[in-house]
Amino acid sequence: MRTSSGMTGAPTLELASLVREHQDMVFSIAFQYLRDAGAAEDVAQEVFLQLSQKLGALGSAEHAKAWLRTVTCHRAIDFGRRNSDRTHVPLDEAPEPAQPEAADPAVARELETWVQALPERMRMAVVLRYTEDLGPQEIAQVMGAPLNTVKSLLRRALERLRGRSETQEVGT
Amino acid sequence: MTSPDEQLRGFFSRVSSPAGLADRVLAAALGARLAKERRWRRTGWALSMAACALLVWGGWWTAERRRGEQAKRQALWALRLAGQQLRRAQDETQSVYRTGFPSKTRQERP
Repeated sequence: MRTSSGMTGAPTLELASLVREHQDMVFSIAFQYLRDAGAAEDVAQEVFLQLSQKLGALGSAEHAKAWLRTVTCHRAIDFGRRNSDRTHVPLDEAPEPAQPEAADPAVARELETWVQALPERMRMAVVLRYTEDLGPQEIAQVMGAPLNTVKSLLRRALERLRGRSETQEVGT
Repeated sequence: MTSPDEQLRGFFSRVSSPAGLADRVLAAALGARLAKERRWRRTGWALSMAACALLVWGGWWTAERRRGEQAKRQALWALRLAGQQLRRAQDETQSVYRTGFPSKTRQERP
């Protein structure tokens, strides 16, 4: 992480290096939550603009990363609320995953429907769990929610998924 | 057959940000900073103009006040002089009425 000396002599974080280092993280959280590449880019821009104004207050690179995660989480939820009528991008137009996706198209469609149906906090908890590979304790810190609430959100989300799968299996 | 956990990891895996996102973000941040600086410059300019106007008005007001006070002093002085002249004329009139002659002081005056 590149730093430079400000007027006070204390090292300050450089916006450009922070943006380049964390753009995939910020974009991924926003995209996986909103399922819309354009909206995710808007959120990323908003988050990094806010970062440019807050840069002096963030002491270290780790602090900046945690701050970016938290702010992206809240901005994405706000954006989702403001644009709840916005149409979602079909799977074919979704950006390429950083690693090749293992799931087949049928499973992907099934998961897409499942994730769209999740309430906002539950969806964000799932995104942070599986996109960022965070534990319940870290998710609780990012979302500003009690640990037990986060555990409950994750458990109920998985129960819904299992419930959907079983319903479909019975149906077929 | 993959487990639901693996399916979710695959589905929610990180995606690459669109090409040029960092450049667009940095350009927007630079634009926002320049706009903020412009706003501050405009505010500073307006404040200094207001301070100048206040100084000019303050100078004009002080000068007007001084002129007014001077005029007041002159008017009072003129009234005092007129009062003295009136008193003297009154003394002369009374002297002529009593003695038939103007007072001595008046006659002795060159």
